[in-house]
Amino acid sequence: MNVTRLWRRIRAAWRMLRQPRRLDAAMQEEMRFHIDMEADRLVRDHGIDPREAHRQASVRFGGLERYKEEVRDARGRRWLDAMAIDTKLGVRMLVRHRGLTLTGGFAMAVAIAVGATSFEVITEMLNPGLPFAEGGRVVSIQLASDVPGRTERRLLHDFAALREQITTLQQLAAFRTVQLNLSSRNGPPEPVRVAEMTASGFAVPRIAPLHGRYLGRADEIEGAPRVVVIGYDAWQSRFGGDPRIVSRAIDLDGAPYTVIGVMPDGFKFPIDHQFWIPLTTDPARHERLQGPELFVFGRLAPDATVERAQAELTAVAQRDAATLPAGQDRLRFVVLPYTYEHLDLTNANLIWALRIVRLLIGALSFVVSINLAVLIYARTITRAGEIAVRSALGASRRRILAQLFIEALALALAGAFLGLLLARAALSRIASLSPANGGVPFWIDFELSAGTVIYSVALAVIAAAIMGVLPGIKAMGTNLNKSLRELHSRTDTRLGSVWTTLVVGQVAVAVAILPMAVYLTWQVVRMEAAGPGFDADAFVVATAVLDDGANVDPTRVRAHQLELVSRLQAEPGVAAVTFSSSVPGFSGDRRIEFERGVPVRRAGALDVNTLDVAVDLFDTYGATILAGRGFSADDLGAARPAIVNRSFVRAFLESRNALGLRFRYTRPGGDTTGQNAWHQIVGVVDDFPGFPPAPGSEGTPAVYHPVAPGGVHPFALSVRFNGSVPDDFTRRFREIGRSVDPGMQLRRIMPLSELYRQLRSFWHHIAWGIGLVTISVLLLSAAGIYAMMSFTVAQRTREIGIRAALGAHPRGLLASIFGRALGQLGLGVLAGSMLSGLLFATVGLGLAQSAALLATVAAVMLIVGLFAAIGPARRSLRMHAVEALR
Amino acid sequence: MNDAQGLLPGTLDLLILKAVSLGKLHGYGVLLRIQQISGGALQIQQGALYPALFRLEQQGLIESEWGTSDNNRRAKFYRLTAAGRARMGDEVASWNRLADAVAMALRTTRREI
Repeated sequence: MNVTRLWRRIRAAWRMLRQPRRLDAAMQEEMRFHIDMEADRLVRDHGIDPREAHRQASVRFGGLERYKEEVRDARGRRWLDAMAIDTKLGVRMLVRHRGLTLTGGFAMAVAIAVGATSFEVITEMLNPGLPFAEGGRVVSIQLASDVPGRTERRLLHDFAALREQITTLQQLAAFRTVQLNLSSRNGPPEPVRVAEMTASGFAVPRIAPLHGRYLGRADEIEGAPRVVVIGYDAWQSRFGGDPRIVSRAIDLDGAPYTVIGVMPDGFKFPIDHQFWIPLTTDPARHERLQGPELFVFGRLAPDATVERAQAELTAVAQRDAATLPAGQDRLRFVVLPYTYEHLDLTNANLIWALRIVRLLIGALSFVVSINLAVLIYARTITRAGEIAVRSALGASRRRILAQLFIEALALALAGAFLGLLLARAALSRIASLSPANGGVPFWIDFELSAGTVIYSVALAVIAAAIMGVLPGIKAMGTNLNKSLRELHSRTDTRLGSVWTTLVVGQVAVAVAILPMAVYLTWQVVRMEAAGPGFDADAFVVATAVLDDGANVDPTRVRAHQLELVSRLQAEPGVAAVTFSSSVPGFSGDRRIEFERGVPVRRAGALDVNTLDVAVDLFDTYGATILAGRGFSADDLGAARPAIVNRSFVRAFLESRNALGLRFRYTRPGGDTTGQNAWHQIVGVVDDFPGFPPAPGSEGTPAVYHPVAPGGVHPFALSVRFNGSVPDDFTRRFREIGRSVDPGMQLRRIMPLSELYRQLRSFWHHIAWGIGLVTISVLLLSAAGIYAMMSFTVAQRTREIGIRAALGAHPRGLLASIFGRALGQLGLGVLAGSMLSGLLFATVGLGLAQSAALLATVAAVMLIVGLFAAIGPARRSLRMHAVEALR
Repeated sequence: MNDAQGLLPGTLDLLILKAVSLGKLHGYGVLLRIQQISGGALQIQQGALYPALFRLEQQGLIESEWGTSDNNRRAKFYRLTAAGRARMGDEVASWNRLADAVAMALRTTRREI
C-alpha cells in the first residue's frame, strides 16, 4: 500500500470516527433524493400512482441498506471495524494470559521508563538552543588552555578587548555569580545567588522587563548608584509582589541597592538567577588573566555563523599572541553553544558519548521486546490451529499478522503508558533534587516533552512489531494442513535447534546479567541502610563565609568564629559547637605519598579526603579513637600531626600499624608542594560518617589536621544538641550571624541528617532504578525459562503418552524428559557463568566474591526450569494411549 | 461491479467519469446521463452508482459539493477533477485499444490465419 493511499484511508477513517452520524445522514439524504427523483419520473412519464412509483423506484435502486454498507466500506469503515475487533481480541488475550501480561507489561514499563527518562534528560542536555527567540544563536566564548578540560576564566581583560573588536557577535556580555546576603525587614539575612552581569547581557535574550527597566551601560560605570533588577519569583516570594517595588531600596550585604526593574515570570537568565547587579569591575585595574572569573557570551550577528565567529576570534588571538608574555599565547578562544558551556559539554567526544548512551538505553526496550517475543512465540505456536482455521476461512496472511501485531501492541502500549507514568515521577524527583545540588539551568525542563512521548510510543510500536509480527511469521511458516490436524491434539510442532538455542541463550543471559544486577542492588541497599554512626539528627551544620572574597583577614575570621561559637553555645539545648574546613564526610580530594620505605598496598595515586578540624571535633561527633590519640591544644604548633581514619589504614596499609608513619601531599603530576611538609600520623579514628560514599566502596580514606580558630575560611560549623533541634533554630542561627557581622553569609543551614539525605539521594534513586530493572530482568528471565521449558516438554506430550501407553517405565521417561531439559539449562548456566565472571572482573571483583551470587542465581534458574517441566511431564504421563494417538 | 447489468468489470467507473466530464451532475443525473449517452443500451443497478461515486471521490478523481437541483431540492453534485480527467484519458485509450483488439479478432476470417 503506498503512502498516499494509506494516508487517504487514515483520513477517511478519522472522518468516520469523528463525524460518522453526519456522514451517514448525508448519504441517506443523497440516496433518498435519487429514489424520489426516479419516482417523480415514473409518475410523470408513465402516469403511475405516486405510492406505487415510489415502491418501484426503491426496487430499481436495489437494497438501500446494502449500498449504504458498501459506501461505508468505501469510506474505510471495514478497516476500522477490523481494527476494533483485533483490539478487542488483543485486550481479551491480555486478560486471558495474565501471567504473560503482568510480566511483559512490567518489563516493558521499566524499559520504557528508563528509556523515556534518559531520553528526556539527555535530549534536554544536548539541546543547544535557549527557550527564547533565536535562542540557538546565543554562544559562549571560552579561553581554553593546553591542559584538556581546564579553561581560563579570568577574562575581564580579554572581554573588554573583544567587546571593541568582534563583529560576528552582537551584545558581547559577561557575568559571574556571587552570593550576597539579602536582608529584609521581617527576618534575618539570607544568602542569595546574584548575577553580576554587564548590561549587554540583558539584550541577549531580548526579553522586556515586566516593570521598570533592566540594566543600562551607565549602571556599569564605577561609582554609579547601586542598582538591582529582580526576578518575578523573588518579587513574589521575598517582597510579596509589592506593586511599588521599583525605585525601592533593598539591602544586599549591608548596602542599599535600588530596584530598577522586575523581570517577567520564568526569566532566570543567565542560569537560574533572580537578582542582577551591574558588573562594574574596571579592566584597567587588572593585568591580563587577572581579576574575577567570568563567563563570556554573546549573540551571533544576523549574517554570522559559529564557524565565522570562531575564525574571527582565532584571528584576534593570533594577532595578539606576539605581544603576550610567554605561556599566555598558548591560550585559544573557543566558541560553543551557550548551553554546552554551562553543562560542561565542552568536549565533542562527550556529546557523542551522550548520544550513544541515549541510543543504547533506547535499545534496552528492544532487548526486552525480543525476550517477550520469545515468550509470545511460545503462545503463538500453541495457537497454530486457530491461525490455520482462520486462514482456511479466508483470512489473509496480512490480516492475521495485523491481529497478532495489535495484540502485541495492546501489551506494549499498556507497558508504555505505565512506563511514561514512572518516567514522569522519576523526572519530577530529579527536578526536585536538583536545587540541592546547585540548581537547574532555566532552559532545562524536566517535564515529559511531546518528543519523549512520541519516542516512547514509537519504541512501543517497534517492540510490538518485534513481539507480534516475528513470532507470527515464524508460526505461519508451519504447514497449514498439519496445523489443522493438530487442532484437536496437543501441538507437535518441532522447533529443533532454534528452540534449543533460544532456551540456552535465555538461561545464559539471565545467569550472566542477574548476579551483577543483584550485586549492584545489594551494594546500594547496603549503603542506604548504613547510618552515619552517630546521631546526625542532633546536629545542625552551616558554612560561614565572610565577604565572599579570597582575601579575608585571618584575625577577623578568628574573632568572628570565636564569637559565633560562644554565642551558639549559649543557646538553650546546645551541647557543643565545633568547626572544620567542611562538613565531615564531604571534603575535597588530595593526593599523598608516603615516606620512602613504607610498604603501601596500592600502587599509583593515593587519594584522600582532607579536613582541617577543631581539636574538639572528634569529641563533639563522638568519634572513636582506634589507635594513638586524638588532637589536643598542643597540636596547634608546628609539629604537623595528622589523624587518619580506619579506611585510610585498610586501603593503603592493609590494616597495619599506622602510628608514626609520615606522608606528604603531592600535586596530580607528582610534584611535592614543599620539601618540609611531612605529616606524621599520631592517631587512627573510626570512619565517621560510617556510610560508604558510593555503592561498592568500603569507605573513603580521610586525613584530619588540627586547626586553630581563624585558620580556615570559609568554615563549617557543627552544632550538637542535647535533644531534638528546636524548630526555629535556623532563624535563630541567622539572627546570631547578623548580630556578629551583617555581612557574614551563613550558607546551607540545615540538620546534618537532612544534608546527608540530600547528598545521598542520588544513590537512593539509582537504587530504585537498578532495583526495578533487576526485578524486571529476573521476572522476564524466570518467565522466559518457564515458558520455554514447559513448552519444550509439552511438545513431546504425544511421544511420551504413546511410550507410556506402550509400557515404558515412568522413571525412564522422566529421566529422558529432564535429562534433555537439564542439558539445555546446564549449557545455559555454564555459558552465563562465564559471561558473568567476565562482568564481575570488569568491576574488579574476583570469582571468590561473586561465586555465591552466581551459584544462587544459577540454582534459582535451574529450579524455575525444572518446575516448568514438571507440570507438562505429569500430564503426559497420565495421558491415555487413545488420547495420545488421536 | 457485477450489479451493473451488461457492463464489463471496470466500465462503471469509466462511464461515471465520462458522465461528469460533460458537466456537473448529481447522482441521479449521472444515471440519466449514462443512459442518454449510451442510447439506453446500458442498464445500471441504480444503487451501485453510489459506492462507485464515493470510491472515485476518495481517489480524488471527482469532487462533490451540495447544491440545489432543478426541482429546488438539496442535492450533492459531482464534478471531474484534473486527476479524474487524466485518469479518464488513460482509461479511454486503454478501452479503445481493447475494443479494437477484440473487433479485429472478431473480424478475422479463416483465410487470414
